[in-house]
Amino acid sequence: MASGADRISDLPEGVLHHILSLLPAQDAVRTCVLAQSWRHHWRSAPAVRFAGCTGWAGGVYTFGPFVDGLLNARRGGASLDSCDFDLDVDLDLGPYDVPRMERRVNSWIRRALRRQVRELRFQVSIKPRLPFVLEDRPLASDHLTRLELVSVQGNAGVLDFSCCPALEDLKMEDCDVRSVEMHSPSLKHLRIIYCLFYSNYRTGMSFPSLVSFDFVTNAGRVPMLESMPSLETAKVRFDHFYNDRCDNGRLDDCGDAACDGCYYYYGPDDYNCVFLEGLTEATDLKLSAYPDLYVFNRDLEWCPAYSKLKTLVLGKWFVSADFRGLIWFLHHAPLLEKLTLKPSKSLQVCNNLMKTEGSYKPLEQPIAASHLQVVEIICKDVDEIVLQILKVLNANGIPLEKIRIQCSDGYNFVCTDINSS
Amino acid sequence: MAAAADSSGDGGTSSGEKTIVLVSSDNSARFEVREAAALLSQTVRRMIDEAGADASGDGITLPDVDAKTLAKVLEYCNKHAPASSSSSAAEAAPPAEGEEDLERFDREFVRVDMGTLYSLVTAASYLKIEGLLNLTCQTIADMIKGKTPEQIRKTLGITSEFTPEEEDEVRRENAWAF
Repeated sequence: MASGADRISDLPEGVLHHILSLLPAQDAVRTCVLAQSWRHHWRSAPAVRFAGCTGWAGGVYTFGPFVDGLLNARRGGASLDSCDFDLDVDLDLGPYDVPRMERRVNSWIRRALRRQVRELRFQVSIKPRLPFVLEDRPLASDHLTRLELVSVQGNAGVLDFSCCPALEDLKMEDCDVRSVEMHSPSLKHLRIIYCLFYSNYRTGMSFPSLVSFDFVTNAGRVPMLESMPSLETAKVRFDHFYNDRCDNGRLDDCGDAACDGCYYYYGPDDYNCVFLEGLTEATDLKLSAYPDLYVFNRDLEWCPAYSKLKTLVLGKWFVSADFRGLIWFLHHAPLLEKLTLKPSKSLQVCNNLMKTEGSYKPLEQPIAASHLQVVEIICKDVDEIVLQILKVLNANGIPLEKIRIQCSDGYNFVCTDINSS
Repeated sequence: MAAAADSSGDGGTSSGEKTIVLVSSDNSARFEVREAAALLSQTVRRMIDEAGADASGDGITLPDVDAKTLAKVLEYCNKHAPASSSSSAAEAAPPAEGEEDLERFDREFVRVDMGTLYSLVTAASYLKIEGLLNLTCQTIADMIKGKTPEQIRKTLGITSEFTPEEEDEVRRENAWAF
């Protein structure tokens, strides 16, 4: 299979560095013994991946000196562009001094930052399942532009990114946030997925330069969003794991001291808008939650208009007794061009919420979104809920020819007529 | 699959889409490709910008890529090119094929002998085709991962001039890695 000549060693240096950057760090460094010309290539690889320490006999303890050695060796040499820590720690392998291990591993992050990395990814999987605790101190780097944290436990210190003035991209996945505040003056792109927030405190999120925001399937209380004047796109989805639901099934404050959902809400008297006001500059918004999440409905009482919004996707939560949320958007998104509605596939969920009552404000203007080109309803089949939606759209001035229905069993409909009953 | 010239020639001209002629280093072969495919190469893109609109008639000569390699590279580009060709958006637009289909293609594409693989990675680097460079580098990286130095030398055809003493010295120099 091998060709006669040693052609790989003649490849351009940039290519060799690229190949080394794709290897786990231990394989990259060990290429130093392949041949004379390979002795020092690993020192200039722009990216280093620390991966799979369980494979090392003794796990993270023997892996430790390797990481220390490599970070030392890279001092003063070619700059390190990106660093990827993908560590697995198996506590069953023997007695572990977890705090000591955490101190050492935390120091690796700061040392990587001192190597002037622009991109840092940090993931620790501990078996049996335990989140890795980050040091309670802000990260400081003039170079860091992209940070990804997976399966770690945060704190107020580390989630204050004011000492990372170049940070533009942050992704947090499967993390325990553990902070009442998150802040970055420079951040443009934020993705928070499968993370855990406090169940009885709202985390304040301050990202004044944010352009895109993904907030998907997180648990705990809905965070408080500060204003984001440069925001363009937002994708928000709440699945089952939020605390902002009323034990008594109401969408307003039930007043029952035994109901944790409402008791820890701090209703519209204390804050105005919790979440939706922060998103009002968006041009593209996807907003999906089960109908018992009461935050959106409460927020809409206070929320200013979405004056730039052009495309909107609403999932599940807008189905309620009076479709208040849907109607609100029809009247408060003057530039809206495309609206997509995805009612819940579960009729049971919808029916329960249809029965709840509350004090709702009456409608304001009768004429809705004049720029609207199409309303698309994506559903399982054309059931009672869909018919209700059609009535609401019709009653709010949306002409039938703009409405399209797409059923998951493949049928598409265009509306021609509506019975008023 | 025959040389890229056949497949792309038909598709490109029939839809009226702009095509570009690329010429191999030894001048032995000319390939007419869809603009969207050719522009996956940042080098070609730059050459076009520098030459101006009238140069494309003669074809763009690629001094560092021989005919056989160029044909193979264009096979990749044609598969990965976006469906629509708008020169500035060629990178950002999604390719015409599905994700899984592309992955299967890529896997098959790199099942070649080492000589061809090296030629491809060199060409991808010179032509600055990001996807192909990543694919070929990853293929070589996969041949290194988890192997002993002996195995790696054998697979990649590396000749070592290290004496046993020299090799020991290098190991000691980086003792923390061994």
